[in-house]
Amino acid sequence: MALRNLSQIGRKVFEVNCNKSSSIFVASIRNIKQVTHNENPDGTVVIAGNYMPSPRANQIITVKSENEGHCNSCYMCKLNLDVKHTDVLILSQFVRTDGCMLPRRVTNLCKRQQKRIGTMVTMAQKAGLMSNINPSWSHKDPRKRYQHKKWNSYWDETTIKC
Amino acid sequence: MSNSHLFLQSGFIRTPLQNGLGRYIPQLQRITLKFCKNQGGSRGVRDFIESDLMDFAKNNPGTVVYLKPRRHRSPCMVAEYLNGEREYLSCHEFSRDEVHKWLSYMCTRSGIPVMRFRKYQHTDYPSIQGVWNPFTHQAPEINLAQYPNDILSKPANQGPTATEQLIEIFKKTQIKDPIKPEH
Amino acid sequence: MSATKRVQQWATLSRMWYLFDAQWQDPFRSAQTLALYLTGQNKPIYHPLNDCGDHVVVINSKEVALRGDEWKKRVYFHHTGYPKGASWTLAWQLHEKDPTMVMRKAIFKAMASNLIRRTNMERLHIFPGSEIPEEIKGNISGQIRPVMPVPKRLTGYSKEEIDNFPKVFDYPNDYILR
Repeated sequence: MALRNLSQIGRKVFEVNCNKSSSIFVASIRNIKQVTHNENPDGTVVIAGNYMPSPRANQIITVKSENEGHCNSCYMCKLNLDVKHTDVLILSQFVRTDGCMLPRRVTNLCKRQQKRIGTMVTMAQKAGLMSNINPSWSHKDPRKRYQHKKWNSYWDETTIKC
Repeated sequence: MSNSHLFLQSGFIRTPLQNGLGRYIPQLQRITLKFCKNQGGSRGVRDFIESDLMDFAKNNPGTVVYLKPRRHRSPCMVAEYLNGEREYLSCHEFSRDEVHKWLSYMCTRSGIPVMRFRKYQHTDYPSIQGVWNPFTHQAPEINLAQYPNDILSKPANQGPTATEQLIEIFKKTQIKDPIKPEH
Repeated sequence: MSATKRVQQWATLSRMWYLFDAQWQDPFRSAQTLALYLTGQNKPIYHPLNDCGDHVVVINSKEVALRGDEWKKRVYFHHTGYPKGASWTLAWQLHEKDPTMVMRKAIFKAMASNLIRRTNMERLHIFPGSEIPEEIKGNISGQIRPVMPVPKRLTGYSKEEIDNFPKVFDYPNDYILR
């Protein structure tokens, strides 16, 4: 029974919240699916994988007004913001903890915005505003880089070709 | 490169006696016409003296007119002004009209020599609201400001960044309808 | 000249001391502004023959920011005058040797080439750090606004600020967050 339920979970990521079955812990950080472990009075054990709310759920911004952007389907185009490479709080949402840009399958951006934001993430990383390769909590000093990378530099967003 | 600046005086614009305000005083005090009675170069001057000089003298009672005939020399006129300046002009082969024109020019001048102006404007009252100094129109807070100053450390006329705009949009949407978790 | 007018003239022609924070500023863009202050062209009393330039104190010149990859593309040329005396120094190398030099050369270039250029340059005081000597600090009576906003590093934000910041998209359900 328990095994069958587990197979239904499939490729979904889950965390086992109970102490008994901590051996089937697969991935921790993302609490998207939680495994619940219930023992019914008749002796059957039900292990179920339930969707958990995303940690971002309360902070998601919804744009209702149709602004004149590049396209209508993409949320960044609807927001119609002049994002620069210095807006690290926005850009850091599009990267993994190791500083890699998320794929379009995950970000759900239009091609143009994916290219723009990907380039700006690179700009911010080269400027030392966001860490690259290091985890986000790393306090690695950009000043400890070598040669020309040691000094401050800024980028011009008009040079992005798209 | 010209050497004109070596001969042309330079100075500032000025007018005698407050631009003739109140009472007009003719600045031309004395004019001397020198001419020859025989030679052709003085012919226009002689014509002028015959026909127009009396009228000129009557119209300008404040000006003394001298005539100085001299033998076989080129004609000229010398104007002397109230400020002590003396203007010489050769009238060789001038026509009668030309002599008349130059004479009226001498008569209407102020006597200040022709010069290159270092400034094209002058006023006795340079400023009504007070002369500028570095603290004019400055906010009074800068008298007590400590440097480096936090407010002055930000660029002027900078619009909100995308980060600030996004926070504003988020606040607006939260006021209208609080977002519930989707899952 | 009356005593009032004399004092008024001192006030008009007095030299100001301005502070400029070069942190994250492009030296070539800020030089356009600083050159105006050094030559006195920001004043209504400016005249080419009127020596009315101000003092400018530049701090944090070590923290200037060049655009793009200019640190390794910009080259400073020097010739000793002897044969084979030419030398080319990259901007980042020059900045390592003297952190005030890139700023100083940018301002020197931004000023018009004339006989008072070097006199005006004497009124420029550049310091690589944020420390100003006391005798100069006491003179400072104004500040020039920076030409570019100073960016903030992601590590400069607290975890709460990052978490509470509005998110533009949510992860798909099957996404493994790493």
